[in-house]
Amino acid sequence: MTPRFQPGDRVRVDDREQPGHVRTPHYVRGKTGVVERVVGSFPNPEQLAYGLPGLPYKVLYRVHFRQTDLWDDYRGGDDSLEIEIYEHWLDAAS
Amino acid sequence: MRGPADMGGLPAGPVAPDGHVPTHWEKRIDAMMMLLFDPKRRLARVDESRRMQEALGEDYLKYGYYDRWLQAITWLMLEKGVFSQEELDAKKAALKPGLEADRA
Repeated sequence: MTPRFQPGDRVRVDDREQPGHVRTPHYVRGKTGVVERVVGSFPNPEQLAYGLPGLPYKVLYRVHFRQTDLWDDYRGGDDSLEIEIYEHWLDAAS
Repeated sequence: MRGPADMGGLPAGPVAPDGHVPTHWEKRIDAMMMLLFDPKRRLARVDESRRMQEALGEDYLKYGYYDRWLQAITWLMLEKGVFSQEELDAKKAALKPGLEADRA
């Protein structure tokens, strides 16, 4: 699969609700970060959770966030957080 | 729609690692899951187990770690028709005395 994003691209995590097994935690939804690396393509776990084959494969990214962008009251300075997010949860951000 | 495992950022107390040593019962649950989920049998996948564990909702934290696994495995096997609720109940009734001694 051709990745839609490349390292350095700014991306925003979609802020939507979705039932079932979802691996995008609420604390990053609606937040903007930077792609750190393309991890690869994998069966979609949201489908695997229902015994389906997980097709089409989804591209997984490691996304870098500033902690101060994630938490309103964060006082840890320049700390960051990296988390792996599937492409269908990401949009391009300016 | 926030699942019980999606607790990042929610208020919580300090984490106290207890140095827990897995019990024989816990190892058996682990072995059972490995056998049911391995590529040879693939009766279910870990993603399906997660869906079932998250379906516990408010009960999620009332269950122990391996209790959640056992509940998930049980629900998955019922969902897939590997065994029926009646068969499960009959088997549990037959094995109950031994199981209670075994878990200790």
